[in-house]
Amino acid sequence: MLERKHTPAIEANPRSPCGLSVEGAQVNAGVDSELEWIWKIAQGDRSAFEQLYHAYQKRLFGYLYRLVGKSDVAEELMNDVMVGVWKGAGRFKGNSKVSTWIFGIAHFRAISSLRRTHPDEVEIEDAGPIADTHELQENALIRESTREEVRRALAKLNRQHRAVIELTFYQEFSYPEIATILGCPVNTVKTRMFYARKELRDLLAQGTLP
Amino acid sequence: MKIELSHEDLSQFLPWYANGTLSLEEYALVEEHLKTCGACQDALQLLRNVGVAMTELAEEAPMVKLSFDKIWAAAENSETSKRAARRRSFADWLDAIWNPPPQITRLVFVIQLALILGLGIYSYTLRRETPTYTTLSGTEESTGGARLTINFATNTTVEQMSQILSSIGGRIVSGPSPLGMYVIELPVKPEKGTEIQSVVDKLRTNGAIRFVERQP
Repeated sequence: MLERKHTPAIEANPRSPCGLSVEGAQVNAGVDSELEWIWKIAQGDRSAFEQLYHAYQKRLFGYLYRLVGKSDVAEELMNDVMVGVWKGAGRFKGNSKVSTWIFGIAHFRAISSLRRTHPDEVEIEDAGPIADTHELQENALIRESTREEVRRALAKLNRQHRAVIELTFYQEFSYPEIATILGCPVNTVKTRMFYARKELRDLLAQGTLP
Repeated sequence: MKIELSHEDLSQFLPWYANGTLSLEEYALVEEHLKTCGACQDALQLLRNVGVAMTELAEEAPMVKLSFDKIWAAAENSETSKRAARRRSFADWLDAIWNPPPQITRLVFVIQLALILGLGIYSYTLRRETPTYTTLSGTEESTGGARLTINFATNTTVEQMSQILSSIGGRIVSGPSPLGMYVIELPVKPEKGTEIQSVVDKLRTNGAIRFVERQP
């Protein structure tokens, strides 16, 4: 197992070959400020709670919306998550980043809500052999897919596959952080990403897009 | 030590290579692998497209006017209900103690009755036990012999007192009192008045004894 050196995903990362811009992440004033907010929230500080809310409002709502697919449900969940943060701030031990903790709460609430409304869509494969190199060869066929095609394929992805893709590419979390958010082992994160990529490749290769 | 990872292992790292969150070691391994692996180069190209498309997709989320005041009201409400629940539980606890259910009342009554009976029996048993005397010579029960009250002269030594007691076969059962009086028990039954009187007479001739009298 390789040793992991955490690079705060919410800071600008010069090593990112992807070069993505994460607007929600850039709103944050930094990991230390977030920790300070949490400590103050634990003391009942409304102002710190409001600052944290504004820092996470957009990215958190977007994540919830894309998971549950309905803005009114996402809004309700957003309230729920923030109340959870308010009530749980005193128990936050700092073992993970604040963003990982908050997204963990959000993911749990969203999945619980989906279990009630769409039980068939929640349970997905959590483990399995990942050794299908043949699939990788298909990349050559679809690497030239237009951005619009990829965007539409993403919109058609299974909710949980899209969640892993989003947590990686939009929220810029590392795979151990995603494991914390999803509450699963790191290998499960890799497996889900494998299947997400496979589903994406299938969608692009089959040309099922409108 | 150089770490060897398979193509499958390294291809799994590609998404996090693309978002720049791999450790330095993992990053270096993937980068090295990419130099020679066409499939991974293609996959990375796709992942880059995915990253950009995902960002575009994320930006398409509807703009809902979220209100912090609403969230704050919900947070405050949860605090208020928590406090109310705490107050309610304390009041319930007090009420339960003050107005216990009938089963508890009966149980408490039975326990109290058992305690009262137990204490009564214990106290009765204590009273029936024969009293013991505690003297300088130890704890011994009375033999029922005749008793004398004796006052030794001020300068009488312990050895002299021992000799006197040995000569009459007596033992101290009580004393000294604040006036210096001792109670001596003789190995003679109280009915044997003559024998007792001869012991008293003998003691009165002893200069170490200021006062001796038979106890009624």
